[in-house]
Amino acid sequence: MNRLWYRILFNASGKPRRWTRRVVFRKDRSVRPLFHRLVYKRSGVIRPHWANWVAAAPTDVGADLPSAQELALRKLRPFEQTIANWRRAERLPTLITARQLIDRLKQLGEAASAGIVLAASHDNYREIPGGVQVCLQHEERAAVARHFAYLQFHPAQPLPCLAPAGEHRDLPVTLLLNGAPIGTAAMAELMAAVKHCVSTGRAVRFVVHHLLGHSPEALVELALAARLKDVIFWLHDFFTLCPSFTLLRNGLAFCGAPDAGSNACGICVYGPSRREHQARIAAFFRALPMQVVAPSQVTADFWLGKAGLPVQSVAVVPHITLEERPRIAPAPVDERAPITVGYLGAAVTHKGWPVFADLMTRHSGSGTRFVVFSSQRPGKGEHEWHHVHVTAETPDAMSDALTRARIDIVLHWAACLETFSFTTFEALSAGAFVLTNPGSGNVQAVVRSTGRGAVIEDVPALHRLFAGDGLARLVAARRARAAATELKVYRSAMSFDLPGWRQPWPCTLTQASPSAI
Amino acid sequence: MAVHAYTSFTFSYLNRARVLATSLRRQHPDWVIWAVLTDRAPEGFTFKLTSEPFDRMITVEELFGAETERWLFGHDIVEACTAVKARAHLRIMQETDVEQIVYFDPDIAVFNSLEPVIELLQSHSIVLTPHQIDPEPANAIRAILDNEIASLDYGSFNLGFLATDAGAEAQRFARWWDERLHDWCHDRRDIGLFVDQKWCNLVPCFFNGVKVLRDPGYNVASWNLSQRRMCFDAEGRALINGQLLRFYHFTKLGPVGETMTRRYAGDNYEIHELWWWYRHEVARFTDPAIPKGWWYYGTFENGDPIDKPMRELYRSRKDLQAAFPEPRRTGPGSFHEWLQVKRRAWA
Repeated sequence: MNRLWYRILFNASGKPRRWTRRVVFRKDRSVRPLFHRLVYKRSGVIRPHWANWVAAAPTDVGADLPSAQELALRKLRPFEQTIANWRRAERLPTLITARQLIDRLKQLGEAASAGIVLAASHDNYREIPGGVQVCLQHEERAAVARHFAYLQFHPAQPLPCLAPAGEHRDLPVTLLLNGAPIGTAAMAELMAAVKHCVSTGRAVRFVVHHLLGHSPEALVELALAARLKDVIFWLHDFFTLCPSFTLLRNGLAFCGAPDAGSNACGICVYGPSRREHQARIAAFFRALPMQVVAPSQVTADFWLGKAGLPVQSVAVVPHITLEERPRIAPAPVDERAPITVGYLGAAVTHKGWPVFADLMTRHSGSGTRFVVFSSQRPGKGEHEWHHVHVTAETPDAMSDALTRARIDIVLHWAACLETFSFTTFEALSAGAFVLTNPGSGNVQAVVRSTGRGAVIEDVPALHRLFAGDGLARLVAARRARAAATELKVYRSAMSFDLPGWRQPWPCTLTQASPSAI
Repeated sequence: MAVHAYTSFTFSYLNRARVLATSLRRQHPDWVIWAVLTDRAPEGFTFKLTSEPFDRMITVEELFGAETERWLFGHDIVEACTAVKARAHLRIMQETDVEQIVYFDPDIAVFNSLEPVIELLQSHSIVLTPHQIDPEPANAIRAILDNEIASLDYGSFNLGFLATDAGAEAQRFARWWDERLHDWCHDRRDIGLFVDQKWCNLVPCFFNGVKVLRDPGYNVASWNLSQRRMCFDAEGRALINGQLLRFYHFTKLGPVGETMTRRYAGDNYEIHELWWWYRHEVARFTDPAIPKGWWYYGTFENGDPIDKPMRELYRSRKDLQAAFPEPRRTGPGSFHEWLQVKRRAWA
């Protein structure tokens, strides 16, 4: 370092001056992106002048400052407290009766001639953004196209757990009919309405997308009222295994759903409630003929290995499938374009935001562009931010935005097992490659099966890839492949892609043998 | 025959002792768990053994009889709670069904079976756990200061844990330990003494059948985290350097413990998770009827605090002990009054 620069930055004893500390470092002592090149060599090694400060003096131990995980733990509250915080004090709207519900269904007339699809999920899929919600939007469209009434119901009181056991018939649920809100009713009224419809010869199908906030006991009664031969149960996540539906222990690390009596559950915020949760889920599965549907093979395999629940069958129905086709004429390639790395979705830890943010800090000065696509701007040093909101009406919003921004690489460093990962498919359909880790569930499975990206062992290996020429080689391969091929996207009609549902009513799924999984 | 376990505490540490006993009970429902209390319950709180996770209790008055108040006056809270351990150990040895005795500090929580310790006691009389079992690297200056040099100062073995059988050699050890702790259980590092702990540097020299348990899963604490790393395996078992975590010593719950844990756990966030769990367990077991920092023997009868210099003065002078056999008493002719007069004179 130039002697003058050194005297400006450091005092006589070799410590960074106060202004240096403020300008170069953030409060958490991480280096601001602009100064990263100043502090670190290209290889990622700290330059000797900075070593004492960056690693905290003396250099043999870490800084006496809280880590990101420790800060996250500080915000963690006992689960019962979180549940209490979720409870709303506001009064319920006037509840609708079974009679009113029946009348609303009758008003659909021929548009519901094929019957009724009852869909249980956790929130208003028309208003709340998210992958599961988009799935329901697709399913609703498929149902309406087939002349079914799509009656979705979700808990009027959202909860991060099952509804309390006991008063399940009084549990209020908010109803959407073909996507339009029609009011809130007690579960008992919904049961009575469904019972009436069945008695008048209406066909009823039942799909469970999520149990959050629901009473499984009430759903059993509802299914019995509908005289169902089977219930479709979607594995959008692992709420059937633990209230922590991502299986993140204390919100920090993927736990793999060990035994509820394990040490891991013993120290986890969700541990104390897990046994009762599992018992209620098991009773739910025992009471009904479950046709379980997973959006990926990796999800089906993991769930079967852990759940131990009685099911009639397990099927795999991906939400999206991709077909690679050669381009008629190769697309032009700008080999001089800067390498562009994208992050899709909310800036949350379990989707790998801290890893992306760290990459930005360390490598943004090396010519690589970092771009974020989400509904909220993170503002943590990204070169660009694009507002993207995907709905059933705009299913290609993300992939179109990625294509426009010429994204080479999408980092999807999931901390938990992804059951499907829309963002991975959106990245691939935009011609981008995906970087992920071996524990990312369907993300790594798709990357391996398509060869579009790389599964990197761990974070240090990821940094080595960025510091060396590995990233450039990967991007060159991606650009060559994007020039020669394109991907055709096929979207699922959700439950209507199941074998029995493709045929005219009445029908039921045939019992699948294990080999069918 | 049974394993007897005990912990020594005052009511301000009852919450921690409850966490210990509950976690120990989960692993060893058949063990007899003792509460050794060097305290009297504050007004408005009743200690009901039947509602507690302990099977039996014994008080300092039962252990030390008439000399209790006079003897305790010469000790601060840490010295007092450690000084009673050896007498309690001897007392429990008198139980007819006792086969092994295990002591735990109240700020320990047990996570997996301690059966290997009981197996060790089939062939050994005494089991001790060192503060550290792996040397620090030569360039790890702060770690050497914080850990190894601290162990030279405070004792090689951590006396938050001790296990013995009930045989003759263990009894010989307990009698010697009791004699030393009765007279010398003080924090006097200026003369090379630290409560009950430093004495036990001599245990491998004085007694046969001493097992130094060098398993990283035992007595994990901030003073050995520099060389121990925690993780969970696929079955959700807590592992320390690949070995089952048997018990963790949550020493110094609060800013000091946090700083030292952060310093040495670093990015090993499983350790921070463990602490998160412990803090909430302690909160769950805290009885609001017990005033914060309560210790009956920590004050004179009128509530004035007993300072460390007062204790050191009293224990160093036989004449004062003879003149004031009830040193906590206040009023005319009391040690309290004598101190006030002296203070005025010195002023």
